[in-house]
Formats: sequence, C-alpha cells, structure tokens
Amino acid sequence: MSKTLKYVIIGGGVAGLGAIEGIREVDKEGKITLVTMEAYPPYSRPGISYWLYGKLNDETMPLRDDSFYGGLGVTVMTDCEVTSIDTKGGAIKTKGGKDIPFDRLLIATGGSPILPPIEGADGLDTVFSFTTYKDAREIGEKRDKIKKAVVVGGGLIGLKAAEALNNIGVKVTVLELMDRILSLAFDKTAGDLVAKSLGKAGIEIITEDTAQKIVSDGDKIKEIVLKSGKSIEADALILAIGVRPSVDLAKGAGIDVGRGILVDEKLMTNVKDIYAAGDASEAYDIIYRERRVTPILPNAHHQGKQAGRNMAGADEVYEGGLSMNAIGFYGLDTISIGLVDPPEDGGYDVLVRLDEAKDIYRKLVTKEGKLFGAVLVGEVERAGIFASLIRDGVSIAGLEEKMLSGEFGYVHMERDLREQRLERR
Amino acid sequence: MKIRYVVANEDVCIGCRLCEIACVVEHSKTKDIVKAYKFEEKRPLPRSHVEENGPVSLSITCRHCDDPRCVAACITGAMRKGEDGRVTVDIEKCVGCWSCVMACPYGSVGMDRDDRKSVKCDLCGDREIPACVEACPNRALIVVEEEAG
Repeated sequence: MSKTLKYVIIGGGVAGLGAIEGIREVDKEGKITLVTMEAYPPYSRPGISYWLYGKLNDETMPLRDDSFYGGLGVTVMTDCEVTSIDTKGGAIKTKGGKDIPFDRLLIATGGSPILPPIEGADGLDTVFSFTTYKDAREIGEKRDKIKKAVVVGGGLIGLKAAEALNNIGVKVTVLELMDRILSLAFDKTAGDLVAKSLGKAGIEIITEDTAQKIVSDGDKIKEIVLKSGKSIEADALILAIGVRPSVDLAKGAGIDVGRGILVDEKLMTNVKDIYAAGDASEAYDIIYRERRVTPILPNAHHQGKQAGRNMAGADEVYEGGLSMNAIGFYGLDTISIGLVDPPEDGGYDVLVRLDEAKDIYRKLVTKEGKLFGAVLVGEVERAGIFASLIRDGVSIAGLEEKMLSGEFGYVHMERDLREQRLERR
Repeated sequence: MKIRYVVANEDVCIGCRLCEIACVVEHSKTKDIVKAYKFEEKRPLPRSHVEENGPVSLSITCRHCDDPRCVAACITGAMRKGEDGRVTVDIEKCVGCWSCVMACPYGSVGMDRDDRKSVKCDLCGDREIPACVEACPNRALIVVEEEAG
C-alpha cells in the first residue's frame, strides 16, 4: 500500500473493537482512531449487570487491556462526541470543534435506550436506563437509597437489571407489556420457565401492564402507578423497554437509513468508504434473507471485524447475521438461536421436548429437513453445533430425535457429514 | 504462524476416556492422578470431551480457529486468541453466560456449572505433547500442525 490510510471508528462498543482487529489483520500500517462519547475504552456492555453485583469489577470490565490499543497503534479518544460527518471532505466533526480526517470511516454508534414518557419523572435522580457503564455506576452510587425498584421491560436488559438488583438486596418488580417475558428472543414456554426461576429467586413479574406515573415528594420516589391502576411502592425506576439504532449521525450525513444504517454485502453504506456495523446497522440476515437490525453482541463483533477487513481492502462478502442469545438466570441456562417463533403459514415444523419438573425444554424449528431455529433451556451443552447447522443450511433429516435429547453430538451424524463438519475452519 | 490442535482418528478410538482423565490430571493442582481424584477439593473438568454412540466414539477438542466464533461471542473479552494461535479463556473475566458454548461449531467449550466458568482446551501450556495425546493408548489422538489462515 503506497499511502498510509487513516481509519476512523465512531463508537466504543464491540463492533468498534472488532473493526480494530479486522483492520489490523489486513493493514498493519494505517492510522486508526476510535472515538467514543463514553468515558471508557470498549468495555463489556452486557457486563454492567455483573458489575452491579460485583461479579465483574473495574479491572475486569474492559474488553481488552489498555496495552492492546497501544500495541496495535490505535488512538482511543474517550468523552468525545461526534457532531457530524462531512462525507465530501472526509472528516468527522467533534464537540469542541476538532475535525478528524478519515480515508475510511466506520459508524458503530450502537443503540440508544427507548425512554417512554412517564408522568412525574422529571427532576428525579432514581430514574435510570440500563445500557451503559455510566448507568450501572449511577445505580451503584445510589444503592443505599434503593430498597425497592420497578423495572419496566421484561426483555434481556430488563431481566439482567432485575437479577443484578435482586442480588444486591433490592426488592424488584418487573413490568412487561406483553403476556410473557423475553418475547423477542425466546418463545412462551422458555419465557415461562425463566419467569418461574426468577420468581423463585424473589423477583416479581407482572405481565400485560406497564408504568404510567411516578408518585414522589418531588425529590424521592414513593410509588409507581401502573396502567392497570395498581400501584407499587418503590425507590427507583429502571427503564429497559429496548434500544433503537442510533442513526442520527448517518442520517445527517445523507447516508441511507432504514430502521438501521443500511449496508451492502461488504458492509459499506451507500457512501463510498463509509461503513457501518453493530447494533446501529441493518445488514443481511441469514434466516430472513434480507437486511435486518439484529442487535446482538456476536453479530456486532463479527460485523465490526468484517467491516474492518473490508475497509482495509479485503473485499469480502459478509456471511450474514444470525440472531442468538445465551442467558442464564439463577442456574437456569437458556439459549435461543435463529427463528424461535415461526409464522404459522410459513411451512415450518416445530418439534418440542418439555420436562417441566426438571426445567428442561428443547424446541427445533425445521423446514424441508433443515434447521431454522432452536431453543435450549436447562441443557445447553454443545449448542454451537445447532447454530452451525442453521448457519450452513445443513440437512438434519433423521437427526431430529437425537437433537431433542440432551446428548446430541457429532457421533449421531453420518460419518461423511461428521468428518466434513469437524474440519478446522 | 503455525497453529496446533488435537484431532481424533475415530477408526482407532476405543472410547476409554483416558484422554479426559489425563486432561483432568494435567489441569489439577497436584498433577497427580490419585491426589487429583481423591483429595483435591475442586477437581477440574476435562477440556476434551469423548462423544459416544454405539461403536462410534471420538474425542472432540478445540480447533483453535483462525477466526474463533467463541471469541466474537464472548461478552466480557474473557475468551481470547493469543499471538501463539491458542484460544484461551481468562477465568477472572468469565461470567458463565455460555455465549461461547452457543457459538462454538464443534461443541468444544465445556461448562463448569458450579463455578459458572467456561472450560476449554489450552493445549496444555508448555507441554510439547498435550496430555490427552500422550495418554491415548491406541494413538487415536494426534497433534496437527499447520499454517494459520
């Protein structure tokens, strides 16, 4: 390469981190700058719930050691907010006025929490969202003031917040507007098993209801009034109904945006040399066979890495995203991969094994002999084999029964398939 | 860069699981089979796993992939690919979310449910020949060395 390229990455999440790794696999010389509006270099975002109850600490929260960035010649700019992107001039503008020029840009701005308007919330210091280190630290700082909390949202973020709060001795009530928790990532049976396990641990879950109003003395929360009219005593309210892709910067720069920032098969936006990855992007999805926002960490890291490689000239097609979630609550392990609630008219077959007494549940979603989705509760060993079979569109005809049992492995496949699948990739 | 990993020849695997035992001993505190099995309070789990189905058996361990899915999926950065090509897990950072278990296409990341930590093949640190390979009585396990990428 004759010219030293300038790479700029906006966003300090796992997609940005993946991009650093991807760029450096291809280009050892280019100048890389990562800009984040947060106060920290890339840290474990899902780790904030573990941090809150002490399973992770300030030393173990960073995704990589400080030496990682220096070692790869990466400049990390923290507390730096990007205000606009000058696509023609090839520079980003930051708050404070400094422009940073780029030859290749990655927009990995992630998602921002959706904050529903709640009457009476203004001016209260114990209303929180739960997506950043800062959020967790703010809750941590006020933990002595919080004896009872209400969490709005029974998705992954809300439930991890509830678990962490429960672990530090807070009495928690979770409100979910749908008729079940985990409705995006899991099906009803799995959601109910998780709800049972959370209930045993002392977390109350109320479905088909949400928070409408906060009653306070102007300073301190007294109770949360629900849509149903019911009210719950609480000192804090956590808003965790979901995140939406942060697309404003891209939009402002004239970059095509759908739900997320639209990218092509190489993860480039409609503007040459500007790429997007992670929770902010809308990239090709293997199951849906179209572009889709799939805000999960493995996709973000992988997209970031692939985008980084392509920014550095690798010119490779992104393999496509696959939704998957691994989450455990109080010893109940759960994994979902791909399509878990297929449309009824989609021609899918659903196979199920449920042992409620043992909290074991398995579900396979198949079509024409191929696996499209799996839910594993209780027995999650070797779940990655399921993911790889979905990703590669491998025929599982004849293996279904074994896959429903907890013992499924490579030995149950025909030898040719086994040997092919066990090749190092 | 040369990478190394262990594979099994299923034609000669007899399913004796001595590889698993050797792995446990190698990763125990005392590295002594009797002490490890009889006296150690917390015996490590084997990093290799023998799958068995009737006459077919084989040990399956980490391939130490070039672009490891377990590393991409790890939520805390505990799972890392080292400069020597080995994929290892930093148990200080592991929170037992099992994202790596969900991601590994070989089913090669084990789960220590008691401690909620992932366990996986580390190619036995400084050992020239991994303990499982050395222990295999029928030479079913072999170390493969190849160029990465």
